[in-house]
Amino acid sequence: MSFDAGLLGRFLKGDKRACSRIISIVEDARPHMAEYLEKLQAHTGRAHIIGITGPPGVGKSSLINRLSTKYLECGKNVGVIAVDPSSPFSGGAVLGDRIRMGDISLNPKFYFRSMSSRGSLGGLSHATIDASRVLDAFGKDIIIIETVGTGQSEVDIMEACDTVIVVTMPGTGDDIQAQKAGIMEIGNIFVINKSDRDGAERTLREIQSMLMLNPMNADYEIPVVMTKSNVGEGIEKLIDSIDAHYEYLKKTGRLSEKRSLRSVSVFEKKFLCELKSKINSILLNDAEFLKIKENVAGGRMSPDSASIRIMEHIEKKMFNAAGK
Amino acid sequence: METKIKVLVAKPGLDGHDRGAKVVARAFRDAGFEVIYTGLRQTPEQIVNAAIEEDVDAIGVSILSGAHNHCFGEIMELLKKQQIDDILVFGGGIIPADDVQYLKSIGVAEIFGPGTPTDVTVDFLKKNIAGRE
Repeated sequence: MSFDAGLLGRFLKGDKRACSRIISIVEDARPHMAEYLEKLQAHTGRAHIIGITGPPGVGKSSLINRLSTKYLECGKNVGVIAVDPSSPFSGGAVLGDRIRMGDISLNPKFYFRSMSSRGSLGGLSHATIDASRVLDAFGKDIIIIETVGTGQSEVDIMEACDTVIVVTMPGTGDDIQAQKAGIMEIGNIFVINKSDRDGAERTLREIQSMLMLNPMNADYEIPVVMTKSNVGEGIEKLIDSIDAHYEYLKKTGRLSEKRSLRSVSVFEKKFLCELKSKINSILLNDAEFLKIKENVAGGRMSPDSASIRIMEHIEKKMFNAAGK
Repeated sequence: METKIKVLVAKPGLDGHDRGAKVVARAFRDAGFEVIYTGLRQTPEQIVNAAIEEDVDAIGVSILSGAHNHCFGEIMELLKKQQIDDILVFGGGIIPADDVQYLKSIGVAEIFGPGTPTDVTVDFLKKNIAGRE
């Protein structure tokens, strides 16, 4: 399979199928992935990337439907990437976020893509940031990324987005849950969805008192928005909050700061990934590696000294290869 | 490089019986496939659009309402109109033998009737989707 300039051309003309195919190339890390992304890079940087995270069942997908509907009404071009978990046993997945999209799915300015986390544990898949770059280059004004239903520590979304929305609902725990490290620290906006349920006021107070102790809160006040996504209540206020956060990022220079950090992080991850596959290829059928592994399995060598030994071995092997 | 078999499991028409679709979706998941489930009452337009956006290898249509000839017909027509020939279409449901013959004549790859072991469907897809590109 060679690099397909025609595919790229169709993509740049706005062909949806070409966009889908390039996302697949990126998702599967197929040959020439880097070439496609390289060619798209010049067209990126225009979209506002919004992340939506929170526990399973709080209404993230329904909220995305409501937000997208409003953005489409304002004439915006909207892309959604929704991540659902993969099976730790089979590697397969059932991706069901599309169910909530209903009528907007046929709007020509709307694009929705499901993604399996493919074993990744941070709430996204390895390819999610790259897929958002593809949608950015495709001309989306707004890109919404939905994480898997998160627990407490899946914070990859923070790096992938400009604006992070943490969605919760009444009755998900006491005030100490709100003080815990992890996901409660990364929200630029908090949403209490299903706010007609008992305990909404209490959840609001708990989040607000958590935010009051937040030292990063000095020049930007993190809003807490009450919504009922089933009837569309609170959505306009949420959109105002999203816009206000974006303005704040632009005004203070934090937007470019965030995006630089994202680029560097993507670079580091790609490079580590390359390094890993390089090392795997070096160790494939390597006699010393197999011997060390057997010794660890048999209890004759500790995992600790084994890992030091194998690193020395790799260094020697790479050095010899470079010397030739 | 990691290529997975991706299947759209779709429920067109007005019947709300999606137990079969869900059992099949689950079997695909356990076979290592990535399954996109559309939910109930999808129009042929929505199904084909979803298949394009998700870049799937196959569309599995579950239909019990009796409107199979119409629904499959429209899906095949929409695919043809967009010159899509790399998506396998298959189906399941209560479909009489005569209609199965008709559906195959318009390009539906296979129909799996009630009682088909899920392994049979899984093997069929593995055999017929020879890893794109």
